[in-house]
Amino acid sequence: MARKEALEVDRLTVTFAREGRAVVRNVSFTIAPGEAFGLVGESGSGKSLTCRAILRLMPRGASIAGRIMYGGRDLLGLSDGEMQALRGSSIAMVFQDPLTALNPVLRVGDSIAQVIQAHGGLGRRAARTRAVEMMERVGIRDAGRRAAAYPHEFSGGMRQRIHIAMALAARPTLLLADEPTTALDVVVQAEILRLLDDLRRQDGMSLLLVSHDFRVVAGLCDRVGVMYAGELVEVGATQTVLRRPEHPYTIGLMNSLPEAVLGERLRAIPGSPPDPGLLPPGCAFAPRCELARDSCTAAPIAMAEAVRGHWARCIRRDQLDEMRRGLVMVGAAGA
Amino acid sequence: MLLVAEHLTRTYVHRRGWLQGTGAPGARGPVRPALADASLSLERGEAIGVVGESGSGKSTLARCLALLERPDTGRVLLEGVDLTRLGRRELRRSRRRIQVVFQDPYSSLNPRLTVGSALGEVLSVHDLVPRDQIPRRVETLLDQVGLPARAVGRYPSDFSGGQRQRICIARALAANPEVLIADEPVSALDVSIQAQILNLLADLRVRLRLSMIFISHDLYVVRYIAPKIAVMFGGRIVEVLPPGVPLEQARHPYTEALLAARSRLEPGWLARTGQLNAELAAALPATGCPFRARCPHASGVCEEIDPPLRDLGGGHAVACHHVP
Amino acid sequence: MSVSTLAVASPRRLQWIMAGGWSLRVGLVGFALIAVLALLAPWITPYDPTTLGLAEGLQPPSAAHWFGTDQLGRDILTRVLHAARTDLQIGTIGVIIPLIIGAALGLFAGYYTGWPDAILGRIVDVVTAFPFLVLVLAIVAMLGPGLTNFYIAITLVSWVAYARIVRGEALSARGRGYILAARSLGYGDIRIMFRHLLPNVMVPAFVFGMSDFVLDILAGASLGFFGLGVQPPTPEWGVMIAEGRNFIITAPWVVIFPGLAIIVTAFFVSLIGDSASDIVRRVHGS
Repeated sequence: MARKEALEVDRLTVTFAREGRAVVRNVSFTIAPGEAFGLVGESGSGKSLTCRAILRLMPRGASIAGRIMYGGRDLLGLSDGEMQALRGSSIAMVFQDPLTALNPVLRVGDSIAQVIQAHGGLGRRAARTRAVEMMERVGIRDAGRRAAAYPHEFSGGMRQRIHIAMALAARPTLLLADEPTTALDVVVQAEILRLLDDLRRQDGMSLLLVSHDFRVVAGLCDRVGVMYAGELVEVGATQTVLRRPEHPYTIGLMNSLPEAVLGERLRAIPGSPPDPGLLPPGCAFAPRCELARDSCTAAPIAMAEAVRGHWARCIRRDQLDEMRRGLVMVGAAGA
Repeated sequence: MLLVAEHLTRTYVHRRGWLQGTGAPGARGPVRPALADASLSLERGEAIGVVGESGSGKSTLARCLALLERPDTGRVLLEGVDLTRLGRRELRRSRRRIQVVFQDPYSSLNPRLTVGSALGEVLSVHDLVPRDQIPRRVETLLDQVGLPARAVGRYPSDFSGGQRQRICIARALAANPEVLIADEPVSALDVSIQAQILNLLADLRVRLRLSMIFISHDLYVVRYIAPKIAVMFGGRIVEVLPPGVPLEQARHPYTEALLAARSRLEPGWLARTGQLNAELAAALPATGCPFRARCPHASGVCEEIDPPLRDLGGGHAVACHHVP
Repeated sequence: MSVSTLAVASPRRLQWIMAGGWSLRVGLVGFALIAVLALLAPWITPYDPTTLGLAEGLQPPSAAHWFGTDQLGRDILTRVLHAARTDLQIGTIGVIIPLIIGAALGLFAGYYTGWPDAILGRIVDVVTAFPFLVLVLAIVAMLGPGLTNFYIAITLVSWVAYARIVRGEALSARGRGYILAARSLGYGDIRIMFRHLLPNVMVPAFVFGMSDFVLDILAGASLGFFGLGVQPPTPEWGVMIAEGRNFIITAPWVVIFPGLAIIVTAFFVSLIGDSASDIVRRVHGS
């Protein structure tokens, strides 16, 4: 019933007018049907707001400009009612804290069934059956009995699975996941990511995975975008971006991980992420970049295609070999 | 031997309430200790890493080592003196020698104290520097952690997370400690800032010849700071990796699981990960090896006997019945 | 013991006043004005507050008597200004002493928990079982009328509110990171309680104190009904209203002006209280 559509974000800009800050600036990317796209960035990069903008879940005072095309329609042009119909049914979202979605006074089976009933027109009994099916699908054993339990009776990883079950209950074609595994233990993280990956492939669903951790995104995303200070600074296939990053910030992020510089000293990026209200024209990363020149801050830098499908917003890319040299490249060492 | 922890055990007893935690509510039966028979020894100038996830007991261990909690059984010896036996006043004075940097830089600083007051207070309470020398010493401390001198008059709310953590480190250093315990000091920070703080800690360790216990859930981060690593699970130390042994040669099934399941910079690593069993049993089994519910090698003996930590040679120790 | 040798970037008090915004400034200025008027009352008032029958009683406001006269022919303006001295004193002492006692006890109970908290809890339960005024009245009735006994009664009853507030805040704040850090730094309990915990838990008690200020003045008035409060002829706003209640229709000015005095004072005091949490937020972050 639901067609599989590409998501096209076109020059998305989010501004807080009162404070005069643009926290997302001209972000453009596409997610093909069935594709997993990762958005990586630190705090203040705008990655979460970009994700929320797709569902128009914006905090007060935020104004959005640009276009977000999905299913042949510009989501930013839809009325509140039309948007409301989309949420949960075509596009669903998973948050970092599953308790955002799980009502602590409702049994989990009821929470899931509610979603189904709200969007599917199924009766109560049918919805409950489907809720149990969903719980089984996300790997909760003894689902029939556990559906009667309350959220607090589950561990963090289990709660996240239930949250995912709720998100997928109405069979969306696009799933947005904002730091879904950040609060979880190492092995549980891997399990939840594996779950998301499996479900995506089974349903042919597109996935937008937002994380501050490059490694999380590297695991299951076909393509990745790196954000800094509200802008996309690099975009491309995960393989190519990791093998040969084309932006100093991306290299800096990778250089910050002990496993990427095995035995060597971490080459930390000096300084801190900038205040979105005090950005210079041109490259926002320039103040922290060892390759920066005057031309970097003179005027806005446009995305340039390094290799087919791999874009970077940097005019000093020809100087990056030295920076890349220290990186222990993927597959070369350490499982 | 500077700091020795011997057979520390700590159990948190909840009064019987309607909320029994995860798993079957209302369950009775023995409660698994948060820390069970943990022993550690730290030489002067050495750095030891402790790796564990939530519920592993690493934070309890840190608190017992820092004397913020009294272990139920076991001893903590600082240069041979049993700290668990000390009276209140001596205990307070000994605390100065073991300092902690906590995980959350946002709540670790008193919002009402300026940076200068917070640092100066340490110096004056412990009489470390003559009164008129305090401002200069504070300046030196700020410089050591890479903060400008004018930070002195500002409140913590004026600083970013990474900067606040630097203030916390400076505060710990102000006490002139012999041991620094860092409990997940970078987990709450952005990746690029994490690297800065890790470098800072590594530098300080060398420059000030600090003995350090570094705790984290990330094996590689821990190895960056500390060559010797203790891996914890279910309240026990299940493996000790000495400096020479690479992580990939870990022998305990849990450490192997950690290595296999961790996120890494390889594209598509997730698909190459094998069977993960983390959630088969969120609650720890009450008897025997704490890891047995998730262990592919578990057998009868694992159910009954909690495996002791055995030295395999060269300082590499493992607590598992199935490792020869 | 303090580290005042360290320079601060900007003088702390000034920073606070700047962060308070207009409410703080208006509140402070207004209150200061009233306080000054009260202080200077003996020198600036045209008449003596206790002189009887200066004219016929119950004269409406006129050029000679700006606020009119009361039923005994006394000038109301004079009495209102003189009463300010009494009432500001009632409000101030009636807040400060219970606040100090209650906050200290609440701090101990909240920090140590265990049996200190249990004992405090029981005492608080007993005291709050009685309506505030009933208890105050009973104590004053036992001790005898007069301002001093009034203060004793207020203190014995009001401290529980502050204790409760501070205890609650202390209970939640004691688990915060910086308290744990203070312990790990080897600081003693007293230092932790008073230097680290107290500044972070005082604000709600202070805000409550602002409204308590007015409540105390009204309590004084209630006692006046029974002749147990301030003794005549000493003027006091609440008593002036109580005594003038028979003339509300015929000579409303007898009641209006003392009433306005209470309202205006309460207004400025509440402005100060309102700005307190804003100040903390702006200077120290949330």
